[in-house]
Amino acid sequence: MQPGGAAFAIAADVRAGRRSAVSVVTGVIADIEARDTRFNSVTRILGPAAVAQAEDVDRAVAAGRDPGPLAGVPFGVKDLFDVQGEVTTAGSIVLRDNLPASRDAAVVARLRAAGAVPVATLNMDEFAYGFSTENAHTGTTRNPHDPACLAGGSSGGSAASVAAGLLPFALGSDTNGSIRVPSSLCGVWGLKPTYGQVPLQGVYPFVASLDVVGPMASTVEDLQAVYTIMADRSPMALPDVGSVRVARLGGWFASNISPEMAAGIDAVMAHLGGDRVIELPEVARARASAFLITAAEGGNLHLPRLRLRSMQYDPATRSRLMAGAMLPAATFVQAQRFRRWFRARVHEALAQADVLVAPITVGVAPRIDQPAIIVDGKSVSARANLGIFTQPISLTGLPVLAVPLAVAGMPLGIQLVGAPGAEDRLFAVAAELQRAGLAACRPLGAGYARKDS
Amino acid sequence: MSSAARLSPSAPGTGAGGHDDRKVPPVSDMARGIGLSVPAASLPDVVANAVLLQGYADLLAGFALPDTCEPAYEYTP
Repeated sequence: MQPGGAAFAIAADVRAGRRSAVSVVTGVIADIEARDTRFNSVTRILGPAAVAQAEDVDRAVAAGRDPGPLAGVPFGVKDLFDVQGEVTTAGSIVLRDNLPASRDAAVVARLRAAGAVPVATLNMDEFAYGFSTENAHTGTTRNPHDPACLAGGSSGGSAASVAAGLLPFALGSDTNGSIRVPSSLCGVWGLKPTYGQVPLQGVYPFVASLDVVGPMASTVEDLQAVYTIMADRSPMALPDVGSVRVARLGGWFASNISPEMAAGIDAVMAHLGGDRVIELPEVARARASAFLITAAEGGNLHLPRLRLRSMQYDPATRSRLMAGAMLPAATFVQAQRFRRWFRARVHEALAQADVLVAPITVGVAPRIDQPAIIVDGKSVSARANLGIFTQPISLTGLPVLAVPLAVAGMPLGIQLVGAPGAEDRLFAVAAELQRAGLAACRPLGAGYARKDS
Repeated sequence: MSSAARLSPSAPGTGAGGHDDRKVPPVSDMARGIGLSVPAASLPDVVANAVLLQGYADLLAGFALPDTCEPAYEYTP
């Protein structure tokens, strides 16, 4: 575990017998029950199972056995991760009659083996198809920093639960930006690992070509520790940040951003000493390809159910999936061919820099009653367009660390994009930005940090 | 040149315009072809999404790829 993180502090206390895992877990559950009515980030509390696992942790401590590096640390999972004994809903009533999961998703099992305790499932856009966590079945998740605003999505419950201080970390999935967008709007740390690196076993699928799972956390230390366990990696020795070549992405990624976002990126680049600007070619077509692959694969996945019971779907999801299911093969294949071409261009850029800096969103969270953003001078749907800067990067499968900028007012986040498998460089830069005070997650009162009375 | 200048298709249901000058895909026929029945109440939204996707498909089709560029089915970043 990394010193300095909220999860580290909990685990250190539990391992040393200063707090019991049961008191941590029951305290967090009580906190969720008391405060989440404002945010709607949690869909289910896993009370009895969580307490039972916490009792196991406490027994291990009492017996002198190693309870794991995350002993007694509570966490939540987006409602598409299998949790043993629970029905995985993927944010929909369409799957509600499925049998409960017979075992945990692989990453949940790894975290549980490390002593962490899943205490809640978290809200999301239905089947992860959206950027806003507006869900006809489970309601809209509200931004803890201003409940009148969107939390972003589709992992909105995960981001909001961390930003609210309900949980020290949570798991999300990212197909087109679903970890990064809510991380930006809620001001939390997030990681989209390299495509294919972290197992998806037991995660309800959306788009096989793009799906990735990763953590969201209140400190970069916790983000790194949880990622290391999820990926079953050895603890990382981070490179000297001075040896990491950093450039900012221009062109598409410099357009449409708010003055606050522009100023935040300027400050980051000034601190890191990188004045290189790289412009990727054909970014609009990269985004189009991600959009089309998503629509085609998502539509195909749901086609059998759409034929039989389409009216059970959230209306917004239904229409998008139906349109995607009808896409011609020629369009899908062209998008997959373009992906190959774009990959080569991005690798050319990565020969010039180790880390590419880009905005996550155009600006701060839109209001729930005005769910739109301005792109190219037009007001467009937030649900469909909050990912204009994340979708082109999703197409590449590169690792991206979402950094919450230390700004006044509503949160804003930036993407640190790295080469495949080079998460260590992203963490080196992120840690430096946190150390320098340019990046910070500022959760509301963290109930999990309160010691037993 | 910023590629943002070429951003085009806007989202459905936003009132952002851009749909009127595009061909409307024959949604009912396409749905029938894959055994899908589109509820009447959903048809306008499905059409709007199909138009949006057609815009992206047109954008992509306007870019010539070499014959040697294979689809990225088994993709390694």
